[in-house]
Order: sequence, then C-alpha cells, then structure tokens
Amino acid sequence: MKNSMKVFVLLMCALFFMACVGAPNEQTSNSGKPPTANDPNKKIKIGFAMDTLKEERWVRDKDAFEAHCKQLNVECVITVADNKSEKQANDVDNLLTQGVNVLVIAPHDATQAASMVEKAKAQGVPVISYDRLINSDKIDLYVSHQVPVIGRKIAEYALQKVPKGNYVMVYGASTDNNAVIMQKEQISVLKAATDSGDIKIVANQFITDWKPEEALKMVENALTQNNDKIDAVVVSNDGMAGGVISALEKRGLAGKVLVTGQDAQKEALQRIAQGKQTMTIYKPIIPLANKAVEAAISLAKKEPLTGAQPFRKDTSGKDVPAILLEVVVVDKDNLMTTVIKDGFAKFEDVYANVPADQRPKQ
Amino acid sequence: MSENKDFVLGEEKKNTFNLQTSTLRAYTMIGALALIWIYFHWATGSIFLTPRNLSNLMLQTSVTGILAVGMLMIIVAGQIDLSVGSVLGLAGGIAAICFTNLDYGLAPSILAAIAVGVVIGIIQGSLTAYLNIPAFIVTLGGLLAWRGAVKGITRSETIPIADPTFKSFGQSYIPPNIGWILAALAILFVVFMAFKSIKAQKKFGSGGTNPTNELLKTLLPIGAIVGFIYVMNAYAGVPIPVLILLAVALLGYFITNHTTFGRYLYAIGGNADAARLSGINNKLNILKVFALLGALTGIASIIFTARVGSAAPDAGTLKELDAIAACVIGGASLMGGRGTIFGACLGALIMASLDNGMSLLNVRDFMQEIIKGSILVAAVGLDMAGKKQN
Repeated sequence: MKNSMKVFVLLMCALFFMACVGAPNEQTSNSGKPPTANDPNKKIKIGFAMDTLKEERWVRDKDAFEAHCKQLNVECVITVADNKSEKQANDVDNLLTQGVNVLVIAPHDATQAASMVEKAKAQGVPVISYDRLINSDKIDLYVSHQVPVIGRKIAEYALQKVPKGNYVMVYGASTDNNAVIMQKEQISVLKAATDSGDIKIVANQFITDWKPEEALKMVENALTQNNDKIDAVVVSNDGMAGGVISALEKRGLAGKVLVTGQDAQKEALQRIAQGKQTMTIYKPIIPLANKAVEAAISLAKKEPLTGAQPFRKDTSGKDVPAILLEVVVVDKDNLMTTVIKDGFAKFEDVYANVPADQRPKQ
Repeated sequence: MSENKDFVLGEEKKNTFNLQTSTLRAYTMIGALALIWIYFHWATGSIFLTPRNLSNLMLQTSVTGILAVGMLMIIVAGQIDLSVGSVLGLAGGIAAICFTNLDYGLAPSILAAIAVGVVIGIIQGSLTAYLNIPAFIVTLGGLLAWRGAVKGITRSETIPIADPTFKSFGQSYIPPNIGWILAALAILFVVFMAFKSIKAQKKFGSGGTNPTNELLKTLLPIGAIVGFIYVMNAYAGVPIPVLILLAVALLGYFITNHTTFGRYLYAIGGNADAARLSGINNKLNILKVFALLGALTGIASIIFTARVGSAAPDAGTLKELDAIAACVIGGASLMGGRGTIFGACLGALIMASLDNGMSLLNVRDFMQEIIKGSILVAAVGLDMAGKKQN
C-alpha cells in the first residue's frame, strides 16, 4: 500500500513537471526570441532589461520592441525581472556578459538601477532609461511619455467635466516615482479649485502596488464616509479604476460619477464604451518602443541622437537627454479616432458589451 | 509540545476565572475587537458602527476569512501553506478564462476554479506528506510556480467579467426576509444542538450541568444571530460573500470539532509521532487537509474575482500572509495542535477592521502597514504572556 502510494505520488510529480516544462515551451515560441548570435555580420545587439510582464502594457512593449528590432535587422535579448531589483541587477550583469552593444533598462527601482548604469558605463555600454526614469545622471537617454503631463491631463479633464464637488483621489503605489509625480501634478492642477472651495478632496490615498482590490475597498469606505456624495474619483490607472467602478456599481453610481484612468487597457476601453469609466490616458506603445530601438542603434553606432531634448531631473537638478512622446486623452467621443484607428484595440473588443444598434459606425 | 496535550486529551486547565483557557482567549479577542470598533467609531465621527459600514466591513473580511478557515486547519495539523495567494490568482484566472474567453457558463467556471484549487492541494499535499518535503518548501515553490502559471495563462492581461450573475457572487445581497428565514433556521439549529447535548450528558452522565444552564448558554449565539441579521438588513441585507464565509466557517467548525478527521488534525499537529503510533494515517490526513484548503481557495477566488469585476494576473498577492496572520491573531500556534475556527475568523475580522477603520481615517499607506505589523506581533505577544500566567 505504502509503496503503491509512493509510485502514485512520483507519477503525479512527473506529470506535474511535464506540465511545467510544457508551459514555458509555449511561451518561448510565443516570444519568438531570435537565435543567439553566431552571426558573421556582427549584428548590433541590444539588451532590454524589463521589470515585469505582469501588465498587458508591458507585453505590448516587449512585442513592439522585438518586432522593430527584427525589422531593422538588429539582435535583441530581453530579460524580465519579475518586479525584483536584485533579479534585474543579475539580468543586467548577464546581458553585459553576453556582450550587448547598448542596454535599455525599464527599471524596477529607479535608484537601485543607478548602480546598473554605473556598471554598464564602466564597460563602455551606453544606457537608455525606458519609460521610467533611472535616478542617475549618467544615462545616455530617457525615452518615455510625458509623465508629468499625464497627471496634469487627468486632473484637467476631471476639473473641466466636474468643476465643483467632492473628489476622491486614488494614487498609485507610493514606491513608484511615476505615481508620486502624478500626484504632485494632479494636486497642483486642482489647487485653485480646492483653495476656493469649489472642490473638496474628501479622501486621498496611495494604493500599495496599484492593487485594484485595495482601490475598491478605499472607495467603498469613502462612499460610506461621505454618504455617497462623491462627484469624481481621480484614479491613476485603469486597473484600479476597475476596482473603483465595482465599488460604484454596488451603489448604483457607475456612470454617474466621473472616473479617470491611465494605460488604455482593453477592459478600461470596454468600460468607456459602456459609459462606466469616463476617460483613460492612451500612451501609444509602438512609437515608444520604436523610438527606443532606433535610439539604441544610434547610440551603438555612436551617431548623434535625433529629437532628444534636455530633461531636468528633480532629484539631482541636472539635465539628461530625453525623448518624450505625446499622450492622448481617450473618452467615449474619441475611441474610434484614437485607439481603434491606431490598431491598439479592436473595434469588436471595445464594443463587445454594447448592443449592436448603439455602437458607432465603423 | 506539552501544552498541546490538554487538547488531545480534551481536558483543559482552568484558571482563576474558572474558564477554559481557549474560552478566555476568545473573550479577550472579542474584547480587543470591541475596543478597536469603539475607538474607530469615535475617531471616524460615528461612521464606523453604522449598518452600512459594518456591511462593508463584513464584505471586506470575506475573502481573508474563507482562506483563514482553510489555513487554520493546515496550521493546526502543523503545516503551512504559502501558495494560497498565487493559487487564488490562478483559480480566479482560470474561472475568468472559462467564463469570459471560452463561454463555458457559470457553474462549470466556478467548478473549474474549485477543481484547480483541489488539484493543486493534492499535488502539494502529496509532495509534503508522501515525499516528506517540508510544507514550507513545497508551498514556497508553489507561491512562485502558480503565480507564473497565472501570468502564463492570462498572458499577463486582466480578464474582465461583464456578466452580472457572476459578479453577484461578490457584490449582491440576500433580500431581508430570506435573511430572517435563515436566521430562524440557524436559531432552531442552535436550540436543537443544545437539546442534543443535554440528552447526551444525561445518557453518558458525564456533565454535571443542569438543562436550564445549557439552554441559557444558547442565548448568546441566538442574540448574535438576531443582531447580525438586524444590522445587515438595516443596510441592504446579508452580502452573498459574507453568507458564503459563514457557511464555510460553520463547515470548518463542524469538521474541526465533530469529525474524526478534524480531531486527527489536532492530534497530528500536537504530536505527530504519538498520532502515528496510535494508528492515525498522518500522511493521508495531511493530503486531505491540503486538498480542503485548495477547495476553499477556489471558492474564495470566485468571490475575489467577482468583487473586483476582473481577474488580474497579480490578484491575491500576499493573501497567504493575511490568512496566516488572521489565524495567528486568533490564537493558533504555528507549532501545530492549537487554534480554533472561531479564532481565525475573529482574527480576519480584526485585520479587516483595522484596514477599514484606517482607510476611513485616511491614514497614509505606510502608516497602515506599520500599524498592522505591530498589532500582529503585539497580539501574539499578549497571547504568550497570558499563557505563561496559566
């Protein structure tokens, strides 16, 4: 009996491991990594140290980055740090060992990534800070969207639609520099209105790890606290907006209260089409990834960068070269002319939950 | 380990108040909860103890509470499960994929989530029990592996749930009159159990208590049931997740107190060798308890997904620690052999009360974390100090 049980368990383990080995296989075929270089032509080799693939948007970054590398006939090696600084540091070491010509880093932690920059620069490898700004004056380029502008645009939109009333502010993770920048910008836009008393901020909170369920609980509690008298919830990303809208739905308030977002995730676009979420910020990913690849090639070839502007870093007060791309406000009125037109989202996906007769014409 | 013998043998030490130590612990915890509630009620300007907020509070307890019930049984058996958060994410993700992407319908999607939990529980349980890999290691591996699996199957996308029936598992309320019917049934059950215990005592002549005392004892639970339904109905009715939590807690109470399986768990956690030598199949029981936690995690994942309205690839991160903390605050010992379902649920409620109250007070995120961490350590410290005195 005992032996048969052991055999059974071992068999199950074997099955389990087979399943495990099976799954990553599918993944690699998916990511379509280029074959490792034995290339006689000595292709340029770009290392891209990513932080996470947990959110849809980073998957898009990865896909776009790979596609553009392929198109421009350069090799790229991509690592993913699973939201861990120490793994990212190891990844960067490994990329440098593999002899990349240029390094693109989407840092997990802006400050800890500075030591990675030091290391790369010591080996003469130029570094691009991708999407998130690394806390180092030595980076060769910062490629991103206009982050301060995102916070500003969200707050301005809210202020324009709801010039008076009770506001709830749902910020991102306080460990994320972008969340802090957005918070500062939002507050500065709303300052005149809060000073005059037109707007009252009745609750404000940084949400640990941008968790939707934490945002849900926060807004549930804010609604209780204020007896449902809330006119706008200024949310810093779409994931949390989902949680916020669940809280509003429970009180029959979805669609009646302004809810903002960021990232233009598919589910957020669906909610905008249904009228439950008011707006989101669309950051075209493909131009960002393309710009990064093109700039990386220029740096590897030691050519001058086109379109780079000096960007003043808050932390050191020094300038770093930067390419900052435009962001777009998306609401119910311009879904068709922005995300759908760009091929960022499919028409049938966005309007999946809207009855056919109420959909706009394609 | 010697402290656990009290439980295995079923006779506890009495203290100066002439109460069993576990009963005293329960009263202390209820007292602590009352203090927390009164403080928050005062600090929030009389908002905390309104029916509406209490309804929210119970809702916010439900997922952690269900996980804590399963975790308690694991901890009592001297094991640990660190993979709960990842399994919650995976089961929820699979339910959402079955439901939204594959259109399998509601019941199959829910069953899929529970099945995923059970299968993972069986895998981890058998690795622990039959291959003697410590549960800490098996489930630490699980924490990573299952999270990876969620990211893989969802392709790191958040999968929305649009259907109102699915969402109702997280967001709806039971109509007030049905709430009262359930309350009536619960009261009947309590009274029935009291009569049964009187009868048993007469038959076996074990207890010296008289029947009137036994009936008076039912007044407390009856009062609690009526009060609870009254407060919930004063807002919108009992939230469905809370009803599920109550059902799970009752089931857990029944298993731990009235089944051989449940008693075996205490015996195994108290002294594994003694349990084995007295003829208990330790390995099979450990496998079973992991499968049970898996099933409960599957149920919790449905509520979690329905409440947020989507399945995110990072859903449930750190939930295992919430569940473990709830058990420990509720008086469970990580050495095994000690802990009650009631304590674990109360622990979950205390944690949720702190979250809810601090959120109402708009306490900054970093302070919330510091306070929760300190209270966790303080609760166990007090518990230990209390035990020493006995």
